[in-house]
Order: sequence, then C-alpha cells, then structure tokens
Amino acid sequence: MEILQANSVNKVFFRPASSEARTISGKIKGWLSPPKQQFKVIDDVSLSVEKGEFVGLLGTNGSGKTTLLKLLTGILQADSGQLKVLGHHPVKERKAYTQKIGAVFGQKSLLWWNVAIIESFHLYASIYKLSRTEANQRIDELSSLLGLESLLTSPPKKLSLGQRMKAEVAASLLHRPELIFLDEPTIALDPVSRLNLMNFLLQLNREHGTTIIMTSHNMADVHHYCQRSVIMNAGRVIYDGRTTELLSYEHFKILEIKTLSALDEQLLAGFEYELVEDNYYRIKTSNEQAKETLSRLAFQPQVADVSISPPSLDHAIHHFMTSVRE
Amino acid sequence: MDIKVFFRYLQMSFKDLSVFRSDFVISILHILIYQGIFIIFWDALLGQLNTNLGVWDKGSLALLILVGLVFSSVRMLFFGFTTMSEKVINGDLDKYLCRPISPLMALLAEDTKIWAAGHSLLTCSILFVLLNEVYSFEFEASNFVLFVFSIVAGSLTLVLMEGCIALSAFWFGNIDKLFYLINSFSDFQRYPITLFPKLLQHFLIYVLPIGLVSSVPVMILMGSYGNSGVLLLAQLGLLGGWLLLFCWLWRCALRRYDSLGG
Repeated sequence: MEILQANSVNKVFFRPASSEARTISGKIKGWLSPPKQQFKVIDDVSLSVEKGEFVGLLGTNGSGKTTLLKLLTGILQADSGQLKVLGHHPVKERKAYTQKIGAVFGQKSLLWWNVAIIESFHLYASIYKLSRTEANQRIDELSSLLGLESLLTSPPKKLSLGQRMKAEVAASLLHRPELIFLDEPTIALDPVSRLNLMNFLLQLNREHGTTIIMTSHNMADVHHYCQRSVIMNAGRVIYDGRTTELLSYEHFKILEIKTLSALDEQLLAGFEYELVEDNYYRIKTSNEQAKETLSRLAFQPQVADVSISPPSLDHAIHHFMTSVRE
Repeated sequence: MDIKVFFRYLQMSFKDLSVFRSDFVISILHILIYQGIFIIFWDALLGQLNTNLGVWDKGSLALLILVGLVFSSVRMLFFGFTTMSEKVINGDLDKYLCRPISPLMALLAEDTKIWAAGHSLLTCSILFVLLNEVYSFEFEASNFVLFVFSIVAGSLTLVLMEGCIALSAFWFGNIDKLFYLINSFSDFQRYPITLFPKLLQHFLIYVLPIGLVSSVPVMILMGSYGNSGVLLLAQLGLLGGWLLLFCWLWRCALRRYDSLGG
C-alpha cells in the first residue's frame, strides 16, 4: 500500500549573492538591500513509498535530503508540486498528520535541556494524547528496548550524545507512529550505540511494519538496514531503487592482500592499487579480470592473507555522483 | 492545543526555570528593590515640593508604579515573543511544526515566565496593601471595572504589537534591536502621561499605547480621566486591529519559515 506520494515537488531558497557594485551609491544600495540568489534546493522530486519500507535517503551535504524530509514532515511548505502522506497534506492537515508520524532531527533536540528526560517524555505523551497508564507503559517499554532505564531522571545536559539520541528517538516513538522520519540519527554515535539504535529501528520496521525514511552519511547503516536507497544530488533524485542493485552498478572488485614482505613492483604493474600500510595492498580490479588478478597475486610465496569483496556503498554512490556530474 | 498540554508546558517551563533556585530568589529581590526605588523617589519629590503634579498626588503616583508591575506580569507570560527571533534564525520551530500542537501556543507556553509573572503580581498586591495603609486609596466600583478593562486590553494590545515585531523575524532575521528600540519607550509608563505635551500624549495612547497600561488606568481609577467612553472604544479598536494584523502575519510567517540549521 502506497503511503507517501510526492509529485514534482519544488522548493526554492535564497542565498546571498556577491555584489557587483563598484560605485559608492551601488555599494550603499547593496548594503541596504543585499543581492540574493535563488537556488532550487528541491528540484522536481517525485517519490512514492510503500507501507513497511525502510528507505535510506543519501547524498552529499547540501543535496536536499534534510529539506525533503522537512517537506515530508510538514515543517516546510513546498513551492509547487503535490504531496500526500498517510492520506494527508502535511501542512494543511498538520494536526491529524503529525499524530501519525514520528520525526527525529539528529541536530535539533526536542528534549528540555535542564529537566529530567522522563518529564519530556510525559510532555510528549500528553501532546499525543496518551493516557497516564499508556504513557508509563510505553516509556517503560522504550526505555527497556533502548537501555534508558537508569537515565530517565537525568536531564539531557548530563547525558552523552549517544544516550541523548536514544532519548530523542524514544520521545518521538511514544505514540507508535506509522511512519518515522530520521535525519542522521546515528550522527556522532559510537559503534555500539549506533548498532543498538539501528537494530532497534530494524526491529520496529520488521515486527511492527513501521515505515522508516532515514537520511544518513553512514553507508554501512544504509547498506545493512535499508532495503531501498534514494540518492539525491543538487535537489534531484538521481537514483531510486534497491540498495543491493545500487552496488551492482559498480563493475569492479576490491582485492586486499597482506604480505610478509613487499610485493615486486612488476607484479603490480598495470593495476590500480593503494598501499594502505606496510605490506598491505588494496587493489581495484574489473569484474572480468578479477579471477586472473587473484591467481596472479594471491599465490605469491610472501602473501599471508587475501580477501576479495565487492565495492562498498561509498564507492557505488561516488560512481553514481560522478556519472551524473559528467 | 488542549488545556492539559498547555499546563504541562507551563509545568515544564517552571521546572526548567527553577533549576537555578538562587536566580529565582534574587529576581524576587530585584523587582522589590527596583519598584521600591521609584515609589520612594516620587514620595520624596512631592514631599520636597510640597505640592501635587496636576491631578497626580503621592498616592496616585505610587499606584502608577504598581500598575506597571501588572503589565510586566502580562509581558512575562508572553516572553516567547522575545525569544522568537532566535528560534526562527536557528530553525528551532521544527519541533513544534512536526507535532500535533499549535506551534504558536507551544512556543509561547515553552518560554513563558510564569513564576516571574506570578511574582510581579504578588509583589504588586503586597505593595498595594502596604501603600493603602499610607495613602488610603478610595475609588468607585465602576471605575475599578474600567481600570481592570483598560489594563487588560492595553496589555494585550502591547503584547500583540510585540508579537507582530517578533514575527518580523521571519522576514528580517535578527530583530532584537527593534525590540530594544520599542522597549525604550516603555520607560514612559513610569511617568504621569499628563506631564507631557498633547501630541506625545496621543502618541502614547493611540500609536504606541504605553499610556494604556499605566497612567490612563490609574487616572480612571482615581476618577480624573474624563473621556472613558471614547477611550473604551479606542482600546477595543486598537486591540482588534493588532489582533487581526498578528493573525495575518502569523499565517504568512509560517510560509516564510526556512528551518535553517542542520
């Protein structure tokens, strides 16, 4: 069932432009009314999402991911195009719509800085009209799943970034939203906290059918958790498909070789390679040549360890971005 | 936003502010000393001159200072307007806009200084009782009703004016200096309006209605204000006009919101 439809959505922002004025009057005029330049931060974006999908929204800084998320959550209003999410117009039917969604913006906190996080949870529980019993039950449930039990009476200012992020997620999920938007939820988290949080989201997605749309710069998160990837560049969607398919666009493999002593330069001639550290080589080889490369290098007497792997999602996205720019 | 959520916000706001308890106590002392100085000043001045300032005697001047505290209380309830430009610049309205609440109500409730408002009113009541012992205030019930109406309508008008200024942050970004500029006029509330030239009096009643929350209500209460019928209509007109402007600006402002940061 399709729960999100965006058709030809556009959003324009203005940014300061450099002034060309040379005369004093021109400079005064420029100071009083600084020149502005219009740029399309979202450019004709069309997108549809099915119920239960886990979508990764990817792209470089300034590609429009967060702005798209803000349009989808109703924070921003589109300049043109149609947007319907969970049967609602996000802005015109804000109250009914926001009752069904959860939103976490990693860089913007919704918790009260000086007050115990449980108080913030109760505030959001009353905003979402949960009864006292329902709220307590849900707080207990989420605290246990996210490991927040011992932190409930601490204010956010006394928590680490990872703990705070988990609290932000919990506050946004109290009302069991059907659709969750997350903007860089794993930003600055340590690997353990990151995995815990991502596993928790995956559990929500698989066991409760919650639809999740997440932006991230962490390709490992997207690779392992998001079945679908949407790549944005300069406000446009340049890829929309399965994450595994995205990887198949790359026609090369990565061969990693650890040796006891340096490899002969002649053996490496003709390969694109990188010496990661002493006696540790990373070699890029085309899919067609992979077998030959492996047999040529892997059986040298000084080779201690060999591994061959497909390119990472970083490579795949880089490839995509480069091909679009070209 | 339902009343339960509103009170929950107030409760959070109170908890947030009372984290620093020493600030709480110091601010109580601050208001007492600050207002007390003005009362002592007027008392000493009129005592030295051994006369009244037109219709203003020592008692009505002391009342003028007390009435200023009422407006301060109302203003503290709407303190969110003062912090609005910072929130607009930092994109901090996001958290209200993606939740099923009225963003404006949540913003105001989150930043309301209810303890400061409550304290101002409490200080005002204590001072009133004390000063009544000294000056024995006398007034008619009908004047008291008009007095209350004038203060409430005047305070709301001024708060809505401040709200409109706050909303201009959606267009101009940082408008703190504009706030300071308008606030500098609020010093007029401590002085009897009739001391000033007619033109300035009209400005302080009908354009920037500082007089409506200070001198005018006191004169009404003391029975020395003549045109209370005209004033009543003017106050209603001003209040309605600013309310309409504020509602229109708020609707336009949300369309302008850029949600910067992050």
